[in-house]
Amino acid sequence: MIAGRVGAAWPRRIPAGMKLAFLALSSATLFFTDSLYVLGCAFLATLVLTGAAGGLRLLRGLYPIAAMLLFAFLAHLLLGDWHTGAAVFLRIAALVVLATLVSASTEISEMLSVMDWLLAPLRWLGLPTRPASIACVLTLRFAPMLAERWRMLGAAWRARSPRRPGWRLVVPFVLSALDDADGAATALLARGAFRRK
Amino acid sequence: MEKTVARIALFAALIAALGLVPQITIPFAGGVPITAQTLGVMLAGLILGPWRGALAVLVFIAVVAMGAPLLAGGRGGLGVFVGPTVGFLIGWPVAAVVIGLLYRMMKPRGAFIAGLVASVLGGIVVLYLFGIVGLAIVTELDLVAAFLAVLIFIPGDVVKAVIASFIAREVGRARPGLMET
Repeated sequence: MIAGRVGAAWPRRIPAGMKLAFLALSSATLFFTDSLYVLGCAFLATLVLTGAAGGLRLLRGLYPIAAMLLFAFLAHLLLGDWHTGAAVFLRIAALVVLATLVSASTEISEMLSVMDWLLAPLRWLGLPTRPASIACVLTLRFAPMLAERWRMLGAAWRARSPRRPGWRLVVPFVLSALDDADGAATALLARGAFRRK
Repeated sequence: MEKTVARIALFAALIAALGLVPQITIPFAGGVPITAQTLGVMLAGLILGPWRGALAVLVFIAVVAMGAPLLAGGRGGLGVFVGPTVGFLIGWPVAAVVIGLLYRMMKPRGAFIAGLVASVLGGIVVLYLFGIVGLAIVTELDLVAAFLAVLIFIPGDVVKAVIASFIAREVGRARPGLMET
């Protein structure tokens, strides 16, 4: 379920928490500088890092954001302030590349344990954090299930009608998905998924 | 409790699945894809109510942050949180709260109209407020320029508000107990 993976093994061995902290620190730092020299070096550094991690093909997925940044740059250019435009372009491009690299080198399971760690203060207050983790995992499971359910309803419709299915399936789709979710909840409860943590 | 968790996850997954609906990409708006995902946010607010709806949106955002490519066009990961559209992402849970509260307030006067008004005010007015301010901060454009850049998405979102309020009304008829619990 990861958008893309880096080729090299070393970025994956760095603990997820460390990568995320570095990303947060970089964001905070880059938002406080307008120097094109610093921002340019940062952008170049993220590209070199991506290349070293064997993740250059990840950059292809960033075209939409690149187009938006180009649009922002052109808008600044028209307003007569190319310096700000260039700073925005370099800053956001550097951060997006770095963030993509962190995501591509970290498994979802590692991210889940980071989330669990971040939620720990709630546990000290006596709030159970288990449901949050369960909801995240269930979402990952439900998403393909919903696509499958939609396909099945369409097939059932086509078996009975010469007309094309369309909006008529939307309400039955939502209702049956709600029933499926209730079923999944009962099954999870029966297996002890909600025991306190 | 367990059913609440499963329903929250279901609507988070619904927002994800709506990202798979074929999308139109507008090239000159910087390639921002028009997607059905705001429809999922509206439905979460309408059907689950303000707080559970917002939780569903937060779970979806958490799963995206963990790297699942569930945003429209297969986007995902932490890159979207530093990109120009981050304001919309932050606005989503707020929109769900506003939609849910308004819908509960106005529902006695007719479910469809209530859903439509709630979806337009929460899912368009409030959401674009966040989106435009976010775009202006990240790209350092002024608010007017940022507003003009996203204007093109509003007609599509009005259509989504109509669809969302229709679905919410029908689901409310079929499962009257669902929205109260």
